[in-house]
Amino acid sequence: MYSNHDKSRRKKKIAMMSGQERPWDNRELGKDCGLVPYLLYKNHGCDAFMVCGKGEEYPYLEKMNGFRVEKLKDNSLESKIEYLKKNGKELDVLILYGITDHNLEMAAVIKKINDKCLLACALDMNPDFADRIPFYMNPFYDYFDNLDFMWQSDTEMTTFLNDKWYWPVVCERNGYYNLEKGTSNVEYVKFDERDNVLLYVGRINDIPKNISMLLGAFEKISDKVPDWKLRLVGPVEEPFNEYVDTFFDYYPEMKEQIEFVGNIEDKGKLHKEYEKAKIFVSTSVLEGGTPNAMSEAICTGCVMAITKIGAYQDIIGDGETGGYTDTDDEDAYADMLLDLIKNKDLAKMSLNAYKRGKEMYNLEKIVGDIYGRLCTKGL
Amino acid sequence: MGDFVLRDYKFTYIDENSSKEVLLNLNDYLSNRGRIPFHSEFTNVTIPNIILRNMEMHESICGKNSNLIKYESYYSLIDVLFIREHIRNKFPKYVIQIGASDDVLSTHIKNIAKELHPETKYEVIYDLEELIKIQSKADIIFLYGSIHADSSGELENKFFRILKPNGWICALCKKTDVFFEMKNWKKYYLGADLMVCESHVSAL
Repeated sequence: MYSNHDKSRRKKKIAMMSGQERPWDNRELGKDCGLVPYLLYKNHGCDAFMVCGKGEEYPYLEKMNGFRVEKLKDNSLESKIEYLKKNGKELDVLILYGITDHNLEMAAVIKKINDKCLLACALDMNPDFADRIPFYMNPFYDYFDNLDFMWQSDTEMTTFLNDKWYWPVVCERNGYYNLEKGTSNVEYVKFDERDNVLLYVGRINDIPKNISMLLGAFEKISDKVPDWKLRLVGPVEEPFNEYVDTFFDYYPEMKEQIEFVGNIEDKGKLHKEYEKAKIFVSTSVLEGGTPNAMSEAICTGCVMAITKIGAYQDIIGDGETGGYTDTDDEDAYADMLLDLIKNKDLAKMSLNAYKRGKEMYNLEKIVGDIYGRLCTKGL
Repeated sequence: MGDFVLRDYKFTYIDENSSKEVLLNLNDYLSNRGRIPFHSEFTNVTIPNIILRNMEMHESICGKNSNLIKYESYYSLIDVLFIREHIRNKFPKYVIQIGASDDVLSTHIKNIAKELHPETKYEVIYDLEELIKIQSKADIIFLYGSIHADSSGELENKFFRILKPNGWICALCKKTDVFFEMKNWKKYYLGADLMVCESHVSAL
């Protein structure tokens, strides 16, 4: 016999819908946009899943214990709205990622179909976009006003948005979860077991990653650190591949010390890259919150050598985990790399990074916090 | 004599010794906690556009007064300083103008204030003696025209009473005024006979 008690035991239905005119890609299942709904499903008993149009395969799902991606006939806004009209009444939470045309429309539609459905947004904001949005005008005003919960993944931008906007924003960092091991808690690999490697992980381009600065900075110090290598893991985006060719034409000797490894989809292999490296490097000029690669690196105990993106203070603290420079200052970045490599406390910084990652970037704890907040909103 | 320029998206004051002070950096997005964006493809109501509009309107604001028309750069400087103060946070401001020989300053500021925040309140009083009527503390005070005071101390006492902590005062005045003698006020000279001075209450 049906009762209210039975209704409360029903699994809460949570959809993370793609806001772009493309499907989620496999890499995104291993980032916060995939891992947040996955951990709501795995650790909190929710019927959480992702939704997007066709066009991609998801090898990561093999590691994800029955987690699913529901596929629409295509990636158009019309298909998404049709999905919401058909299924919206059953949804307890709709999570949107960022502020896109599709997200603005979906937010308006779900509230009309099911005003009990909680609407949440992972903002993924950077200072450039935060300035552009006239948040006091529609459709943005209605979007933010309808959200029950929104979060940003670094402290600096969270504080800024709370100062600027009318609505509360909380900080929920892009944490780390190892899909291969099925946990956010990974073992620390001792510093003396690591190689003399500066590791970069991410897309290889100039905007916004500024890899030409990274290459230039390493070239400047390479003769002083002949036993160190720079390893770049990730896809080289066109037209940056032409820059790489030109760089090696000018500096053919750098082929001994710089390795372009290519993309590594296998999370187990990728994790080993972090475990083998002493220092993680990043020269981005702009990022939305905490880049996933940074949280992966700090949680694995890499010393952090980064530029002053929004999340820099969260990552570096008071300098105990590494160093930072202004963006676009190649000389300063080169000096910092050399200082870090020669630093007698580098092993201690590595352990500090591991501890800081464990304290601040444990994605299972972060999703637990997100779940708690959704519960206080009526989930 | 100094200069007031827009270079590399920065409104900059260059003094007679060529020292530069950036007054408003349109690339420093995190300095803008107001509503109006520095740049946007979603709206044409942006900070540079509202400054530009006021510059274009300056001549019509001044009417037939050719003496005031020539002070376009002073009013633009005040517009930029006012915007800088206004965007420190998201809240509307209470602004008082003391002195009103004409309505050029009030028109300049009201044109911008209503865009920056529709609830910003702008009040004009005609001389220092009317300060006694002011009931609430202001965020910003403009001093316009000749302000008669026996000493800088007398002026500062009057302002302290009606300004919020860290409130901002800006004066457009002659170089022979009492403000010329005030040591802890920042001064911007754009011409031989006129200057813009500013200070915050905590500095007084």
